[in-house]
Amino acid sequence: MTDQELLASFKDESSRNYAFNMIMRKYQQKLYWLVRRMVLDHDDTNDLMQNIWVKIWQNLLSFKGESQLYTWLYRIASNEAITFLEKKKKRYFARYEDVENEVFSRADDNNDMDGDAIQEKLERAILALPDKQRLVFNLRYYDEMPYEEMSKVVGTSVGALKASYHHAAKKVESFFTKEN
Amino acid sequence: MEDTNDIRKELDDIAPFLSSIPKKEILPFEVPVNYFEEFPNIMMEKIQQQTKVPKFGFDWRRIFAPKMALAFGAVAILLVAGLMVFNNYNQAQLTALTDDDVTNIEEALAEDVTAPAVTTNDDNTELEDYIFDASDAAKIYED
Repeated sequence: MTDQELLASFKDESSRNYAFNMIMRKYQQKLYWLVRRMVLDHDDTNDLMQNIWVKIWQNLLSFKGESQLYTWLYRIASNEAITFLEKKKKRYFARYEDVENEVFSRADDNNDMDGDAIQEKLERAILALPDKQRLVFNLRYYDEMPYEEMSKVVGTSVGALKASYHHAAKKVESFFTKEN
Repeated sequence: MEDTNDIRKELDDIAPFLSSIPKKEILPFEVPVNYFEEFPNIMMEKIQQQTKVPKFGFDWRRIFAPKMALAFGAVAILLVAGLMVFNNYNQAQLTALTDDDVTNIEEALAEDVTAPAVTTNDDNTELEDYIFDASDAAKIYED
């Protein structure tokens, strides 16, 4: 089913639950990995995913279709992830560097990590980026999202996103060259 | 609109080493078994439970919600604090009176009770005359 068909089906009360279930099955993994790459921990990601899908359910009827459905879903998910990280920093009264170190040590201690050294290094390099820059990098690098779409997700101009991605990619590259 | 080739070429230009790293299909984080199969059903149950709550009318369960308990608690604390402040203020007023104040108050009260009416004989005469005149005037309208 296309997104248009799913949305039309969702608007009909008799098929709403079915349509929503289908939308979740279609997009849950993309949203999960978007959030998981930002917050790292599965339990945190799972809590956020529940909030995100409740918000999607509550607002999907008012979705006008001015942007693509996946762009709208990504916007909700990335907002939740960024808000979560900001709240977490405030809660622990932590400076950015402290949180970064905490994230690093968690990545080091994380038993979920596979043994692939290059992939681990890549994750560590990406984790060193500031949150919003990391979001931009992930959307471009992993999701291969065009800047025009990303602009709708992040709410930033295409020019600023290009600059942000270029800085991020160079930082990640230099992380590898320093380590090697 | 850009396609994936444009995006890969861009990365190749900015960060050639990073671009050479193959993007792994399997990510370095693990997910619990069957998580993605079960998640939509768990979510649907959660959403249906939420939509079962009546939208109209008063829901008594809300009184016992943690938010309401906090509000009730805050109101109770404010009431108790208010009563305590009020009592302390009255007590302070009473204890602030000296023996002299009490004596003065008692004297003033005694004077008020025993004080004679401040009228003169002339006043009484005028008043009697007025009453007399008024009763006469009323007779004009009789019959």
